[in-house]
Amino acid sequence: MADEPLLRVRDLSVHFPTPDGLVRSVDGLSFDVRAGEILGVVGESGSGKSVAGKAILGLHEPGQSVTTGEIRYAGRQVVGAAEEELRQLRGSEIAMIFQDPLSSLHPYFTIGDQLSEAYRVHNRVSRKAARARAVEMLTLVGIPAAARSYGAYPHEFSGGMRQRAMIAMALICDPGLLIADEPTTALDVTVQAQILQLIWDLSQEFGSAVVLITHDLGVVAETCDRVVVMYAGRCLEQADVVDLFERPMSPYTWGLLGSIPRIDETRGDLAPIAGQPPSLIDLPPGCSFEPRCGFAFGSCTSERPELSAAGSEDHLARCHLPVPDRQEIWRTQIAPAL
Amino acid sequence: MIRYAANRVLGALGVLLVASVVTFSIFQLLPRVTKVDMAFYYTGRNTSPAQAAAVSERFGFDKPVWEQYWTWLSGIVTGRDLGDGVSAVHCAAPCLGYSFRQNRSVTEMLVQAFPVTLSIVIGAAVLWLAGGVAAGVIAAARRGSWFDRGSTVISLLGVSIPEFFSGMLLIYALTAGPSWLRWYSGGITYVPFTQDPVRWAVNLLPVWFCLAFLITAVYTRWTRAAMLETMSEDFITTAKAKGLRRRTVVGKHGLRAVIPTVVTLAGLDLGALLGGVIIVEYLFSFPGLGRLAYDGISTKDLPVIMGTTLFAAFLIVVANVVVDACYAILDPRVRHGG
Amino acid sequence: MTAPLLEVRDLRKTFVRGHGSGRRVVTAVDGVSFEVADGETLGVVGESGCGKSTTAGMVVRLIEPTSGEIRFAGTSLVGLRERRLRPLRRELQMVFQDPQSSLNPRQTVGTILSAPFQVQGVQPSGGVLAEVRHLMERVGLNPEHYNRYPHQFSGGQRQRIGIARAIALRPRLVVCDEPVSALDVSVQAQVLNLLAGLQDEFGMAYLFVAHDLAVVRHLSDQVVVMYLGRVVEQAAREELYRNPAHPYTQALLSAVPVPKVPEARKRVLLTGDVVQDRPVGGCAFRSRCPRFAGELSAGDKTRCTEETPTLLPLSPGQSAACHFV
Repeated sequence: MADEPLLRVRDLSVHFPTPDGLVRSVDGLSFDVRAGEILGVVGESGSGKSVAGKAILGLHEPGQSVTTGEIRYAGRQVVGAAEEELRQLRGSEIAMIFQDPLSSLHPYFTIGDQLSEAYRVHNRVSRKAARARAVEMLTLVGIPAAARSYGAYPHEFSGGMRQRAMIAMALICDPGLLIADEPTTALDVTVQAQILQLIWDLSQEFGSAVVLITHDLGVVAETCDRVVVMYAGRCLEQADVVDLFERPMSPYTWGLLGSIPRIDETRGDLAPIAGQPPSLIDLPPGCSFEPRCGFAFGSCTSERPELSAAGSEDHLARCHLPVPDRQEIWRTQIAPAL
Repeated sequence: MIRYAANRVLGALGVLLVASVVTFSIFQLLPRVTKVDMAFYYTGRNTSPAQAAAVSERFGFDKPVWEQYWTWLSGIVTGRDLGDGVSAVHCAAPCLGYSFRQNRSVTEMLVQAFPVTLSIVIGAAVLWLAGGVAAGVIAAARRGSWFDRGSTVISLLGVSIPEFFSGMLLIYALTAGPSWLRWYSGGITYVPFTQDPVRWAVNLLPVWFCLAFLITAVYTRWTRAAMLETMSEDFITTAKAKGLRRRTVVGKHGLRAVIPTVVTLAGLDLGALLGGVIIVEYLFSFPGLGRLAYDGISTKDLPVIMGTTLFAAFLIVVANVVVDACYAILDPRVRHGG
Repeated sequence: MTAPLLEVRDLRKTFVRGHGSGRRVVTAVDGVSFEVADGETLGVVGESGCGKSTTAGMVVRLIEPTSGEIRFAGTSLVGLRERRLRPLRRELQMVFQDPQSSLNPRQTVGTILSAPFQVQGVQPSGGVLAEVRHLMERVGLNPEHYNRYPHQFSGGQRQRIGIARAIALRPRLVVCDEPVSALDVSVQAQVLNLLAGLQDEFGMAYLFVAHDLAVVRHLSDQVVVMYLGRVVEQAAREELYRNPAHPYTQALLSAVPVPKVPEARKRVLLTGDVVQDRPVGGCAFRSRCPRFAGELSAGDKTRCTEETPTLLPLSPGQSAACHFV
């Protein structure tokens, strides 16, 4: 890879000291986001995907957490940056939207005021110009009668409309990167389809890269270009979306695929992953997935596997099993049962 | 909206009516419990039985209770004449009773005392609201700092030192303490605002501090807790993610969210305190409603006690209506919910 | 044909919201009818506000219906007094969405699971404790943990406790209201397998209410699709998922993202949402219906606006409520 990616995350760790011990929410996470691409970060609750997303914006309070490693956005280091430097990055270069648009919008300010504020904090413009820009953005995300909706309060909108307003607010300064943290989880499936379509359309139009954090592999398959699969604070696999679904190289990804009931076909029994995710305070010394893995052997318990190429240069996985063995297991045991 | 307001006012009138019945009943029961004829409460202990009987008849204490209540209640609306012959007095509407001990109508006494209490409470409210909310917000924003710890200790002192103790210290220090502190060597007396605004304020200052000290402590602790809760809300994360300055995040988005509840709390406290701040008024010998009630009780002047009680109830009901109205103005969700 | 285990006819529920001038009547369920056969699973699926959970609540009598008929094993449940209802509770159980709030935090699992036996006065052979331990083992919990409290278990384990409580007395029908929607995919799969396994073993019927169409497909024999309080389509599983007839079902199915390598898929993207678009009279779906917005003639549209479509059979085992299918 010749040129520097838009966002470069290397060995990122976010730890929270608690009375029970150090919670390693994110532990040695590395990935790149290239300009204009949609990267899916998929994982179950507690996998650290949302914590990582917030870390990209430097949103974790320094007093309550310890963030180490490297997050480099367009050449600028985020981890350890001064508050003022982070502030100028937030909203103008990197924007974020969240799972629950109702609680994420201030209940006592109008939608329009919240949008204008986001624009004016990074652009020296008059109130009138900011208002015009906000109305333009509301129209762009498909809010009917945008000029009138400008004065509406969040509770007067439906869930889908609120998320549209959040997207409008996030993109109002034309950021290079949008972090969408479970943006459709709180929405109905027909509205989810609209919102995903909107995010996809706008990322094309604005040329923004998107980090789409989700628990839903279906959302990943239909929206993303590349995927990072997270488990217990670590990345277990990352690949091009086609590679991930056609040749997954991590037993955890196999387990996820085996767990999902399908809308497009009737499956027999599901093949769930046994047991439960480990405690983030007391992670296994070796591979974090080893206690639940059906293919674990000797070194898995003691030695932490590194993220290494599996099949192609762009396809990385964290697993001790030799690559040919994994390819064989996928082809003969896993894929036929799906 | 208008119907809603009308409903609220009607409800408040209903509550007042109930309060009047309860007040009246309690004071009807009093002579029965103490086995002292009602007439003695009006005329004093030295009355002969024959005189007492005459008084009873003149004021209608021998009539059925409901009839007495009706006379008393209609007197509030239309005024009434008490007694007959040479001793007859007219008590103009709104007649809350007539004190034969002092030969004045209770309403007149209330009208005279209320400005004193109002002066004390309003001034103290400005102090405790400004001080308590500001201290609470700063303590929450700098959680764990020296300011936070210091304000916690001072709050704890404020809550645990009773106002008669702090008030006595204050009076002693300012009037008879060391010479550099003896700012009020002439004594602290109430001067009406209309007479001399400067001396009004100067003389009220120690009273304000005495009353506000305890309440400020309560508001500081409460505001700090409410702010801390608010600062963990999703919309605060959104505000940070927009790139707003920390000052704006705390002072605009955070503070705005706790204002409706601060206003509610302050409104109810004001309503309760305006009915009379007995201890403080007694300590400083300020002729307010609390002092009036206290004197009424100590001289067993029944009409005065009833009048001050009902007036205090009226103020609390008014405060409730005002608080509801403020909430509807401050919280758009209530405003639109109807 | 034998009578169905559960028969729901023209069920209706209206709630009164607000008071004074803001008072209005909301129809949550509007004339819903379906049947559940012994040993079978009926899936009820729809988006928020479609009335599926209210329907489930009415079947177990947690919510009193405004009108309509619910017959369970030949007995009419509507208006039945609690005393008469109690023996039926043995046969009719419920699993809730949130296992956290449906389990008493101050009772041990052992107490929670022995309650059904005590309430119904059932003395299992071998004693209650042995039966409780057996139940725990059957739903995949460690029987040694019967002295623990709900908060000491994970979300998935708590849902297993809820399931164990529901099946303790071997009911004939278990009403499941979003039983897996609070769970992570890997745990969700474990619970789905458990539900399927228990049905194989004990032969009970499920009324399975969920918003996740894939989960409903996985477990159901028959499926009912609801929209704004009404059934818009009802069919056997394969029929419904392969040949959805109602435009809403079509859009709903096409909106679900599939976890496989994307190929060009024809997606029917609906506009609006149920909160914004709630038309009065006629077909409730018309405000979002792609056919109403597109191909239908003006005369046909008048029919949609004025006439509420009823559920009519299209073929054996499939019916839809649309004037133009």
